[in-house]
Amino acid sequence: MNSPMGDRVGNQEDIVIKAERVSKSFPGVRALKEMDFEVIRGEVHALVGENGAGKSTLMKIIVREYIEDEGNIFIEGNNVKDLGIRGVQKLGLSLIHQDLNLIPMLTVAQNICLGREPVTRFGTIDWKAMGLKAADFLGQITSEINVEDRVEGLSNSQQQLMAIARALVTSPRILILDEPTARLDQKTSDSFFLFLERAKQKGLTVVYISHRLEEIYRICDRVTVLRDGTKIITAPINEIPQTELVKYMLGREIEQQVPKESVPIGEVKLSVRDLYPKEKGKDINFDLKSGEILGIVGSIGAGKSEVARAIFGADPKQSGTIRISGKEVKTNAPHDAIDHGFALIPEERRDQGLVGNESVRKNMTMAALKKKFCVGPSWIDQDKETAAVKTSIKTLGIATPSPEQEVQFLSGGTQQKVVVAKWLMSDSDIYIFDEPTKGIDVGGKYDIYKLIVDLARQGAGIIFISNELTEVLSLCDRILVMFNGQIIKELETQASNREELLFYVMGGRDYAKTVNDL
Amino acid sequence: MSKSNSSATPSDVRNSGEIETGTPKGNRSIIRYGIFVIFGLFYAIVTILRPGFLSLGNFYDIFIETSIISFVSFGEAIVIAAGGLDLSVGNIAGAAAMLTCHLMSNLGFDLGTSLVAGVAIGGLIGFGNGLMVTRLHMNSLIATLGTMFVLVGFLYGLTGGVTVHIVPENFEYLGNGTIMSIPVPMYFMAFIFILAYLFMEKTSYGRNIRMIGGNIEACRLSGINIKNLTLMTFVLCGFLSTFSGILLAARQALGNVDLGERFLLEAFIAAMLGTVIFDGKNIITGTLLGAIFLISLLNGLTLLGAGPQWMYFAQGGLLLAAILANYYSKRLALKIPGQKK
Repeated sequence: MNSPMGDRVGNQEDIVIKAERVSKSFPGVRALKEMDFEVIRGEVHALVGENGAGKSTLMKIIVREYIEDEGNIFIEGNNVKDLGIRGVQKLGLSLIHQDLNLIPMLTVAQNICLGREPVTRFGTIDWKAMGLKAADFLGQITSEINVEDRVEGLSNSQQQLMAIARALVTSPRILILDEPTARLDQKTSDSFFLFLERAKQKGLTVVYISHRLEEIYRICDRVTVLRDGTKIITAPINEIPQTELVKYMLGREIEQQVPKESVPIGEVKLSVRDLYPKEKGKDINFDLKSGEILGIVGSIGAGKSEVARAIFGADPKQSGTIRISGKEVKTNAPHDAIDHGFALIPEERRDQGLVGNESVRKNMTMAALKKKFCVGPSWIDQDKETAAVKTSIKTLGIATPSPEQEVQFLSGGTQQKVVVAKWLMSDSDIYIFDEPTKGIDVGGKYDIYKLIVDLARQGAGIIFISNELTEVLSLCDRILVMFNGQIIKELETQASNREELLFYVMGGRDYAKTVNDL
Repeated sequence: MSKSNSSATPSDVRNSGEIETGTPKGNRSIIRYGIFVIFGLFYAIVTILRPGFLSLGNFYDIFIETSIISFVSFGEAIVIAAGGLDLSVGNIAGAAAMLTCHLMSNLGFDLGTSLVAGVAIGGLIGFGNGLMVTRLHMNSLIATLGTMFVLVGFLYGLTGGVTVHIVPENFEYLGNGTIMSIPVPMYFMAFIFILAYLFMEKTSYGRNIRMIGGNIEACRLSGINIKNLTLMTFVLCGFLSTFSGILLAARQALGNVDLGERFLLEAFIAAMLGTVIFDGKNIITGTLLGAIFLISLLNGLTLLGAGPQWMYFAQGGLLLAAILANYYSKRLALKIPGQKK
């Protein structure tokens, strides 16, 4: 890739974003540590790093959504210390978030012009001018979307393009894109890159956060790698080979902290064939054996949760067959899946896993209440229920003052154990863990790993979905890598490593060959 | 600028997953005891000014009235427990009462048939409400608002708006009779109270209805049949509302088109108080207490000679206070570090 940017460092005129020793802490986390960061005029600057490396935090500080604890930020030489979100917009800066913040009921034109509606001389909204203005901005990216359509009717890809068009309304000179292609399909990706090329020629500066190697090498001039809140390196992209980049992102190996033990792996328990989830994902095929922990990894938007939810019947599927021990089963709704022994530990445990204002007891028995704790069709046997809950609290080591404690007052790790206990009560034997350790402290994580290993030892089949490669590598027997809705690689954990895994997560192809070419 | 900063912090606290174990129970019971204290003070004042408030005869009045509104209040409380609202309860009660009176007095059906028809129509309307909410995915507030006005049309259509004055004596007995010197409506109330209490507290149906009200998505993902249970709450509510309507008609010995109108407000107040009193638990007992509080308040105001404007001020104020208390007890419960700022 031709990049003249490497040799232009140092010229003050040309540095449009300059961050000096920026630090930022959230309760319990140091998100950024004395970070330096520079972007040169007219370049596309890639910002890469694992989840939690600090990419989004840094960008949010630059656009003043967060305020740094220490350090200075200059946009084209102006210190932004006292500027608000609108203030930095006036300096020509615009950020497009991972979550798009669109208003679904309004039309495309209304969303694009939101807060900047053209007015007639009577002070009312000039609808015609608004439509033209929106069409003008949208036309720079795509010709596929009608500005009169409502946003709720658009596909994910179209919404993403729209959000970019909206950012253009302020005529930014610097555009920050946070994983813009996570939602784009192949076709819209291409029109997006074309737009980016043209914008670059017109002198737009772009900061580009992405998890996709191919894109980074295709469109970026320079790259900055962040890890654990510090900057590792900034360099022209053509000076860093792909495998090197992955190494910079990962840093040194972290010592093993997962209580993995080898468990005998049995017969095939679950077979998923030709599954097309309705939401995202295509042609999903895999087997899960009893006693096996199968990891599914992939970046945000790769379609991991969608696959899990389709198998469990939480979301509809277009097609596909699911077999348990060779017998085909229908899982059109969660209660079908539960009858067949499935358990889902959902990604958002507070919104999807627990009834916060109810007790530990009621949360634990909610999936098995009719099956195991009722006399006759529906009379609850409260003694039996309480006894079972107390046993479960003891064996799982759930830190609650009593079974009657409301779950909303428990820590994240303890809440997650309550969710797992719920499924143990209903005798599940295929467990789908969707990001089970998200937002849980180190001790809590350890307990959850231990729980999962125990389940495997008892012969359950386990699907373990996670974004944290370290935990996947140390916990799982086998790993499926998803990219853009498809399973692109299956890896045996024993024969793999973090570099290889991250390489595939970022959409790389043929790791062995790439390494040999060096 | 500092605003955007602080608004970002709570979500980060939540993401980091740790909520400290607080002692919100203490805060929440302030609201509950507040209700008891306020009503206690009111009763004391009424008793000093009007000693007749504490007489046995007045107690009977209070309990008969409480009995009549208790059924519709239980129904509303069950719907609210599952996270819905039913605005059509008053008109369901009215429709059931009117239909029963019309069948008996104008068309010459016997008492039993007329009562069964009255109760059945309530269940049927509730079923319709439930279908709109669970199968057509309508907001319960909007769906039942529609039902409410359709029923007004039904009421006028049934007798052309004419009041049914002459009702059989054995029907009147349901509202005014006594058994062992205890008014008949109180027997009904006691019976239905026990059933509703057992249903909500001891069966999986009642348990799951409450769980749905807490977090419907978590319930769906745990295999609970959220659609049928939500439907069930509306059927029960319609069914229970008819008892209130029919007993009121029996007590007044007449059926008229606006008979049930008062029930909507009263049932809401009783159910909202009922939800606050025991902190969202044991809502049936809570609702019964709420109904007693409400009726004795109205009774006390009548004894003090308050005009209708004061009645409405008191009821509206009480409803707002109950909703506010409900909101605050939830807020206190959800209070997490970082939200304080």
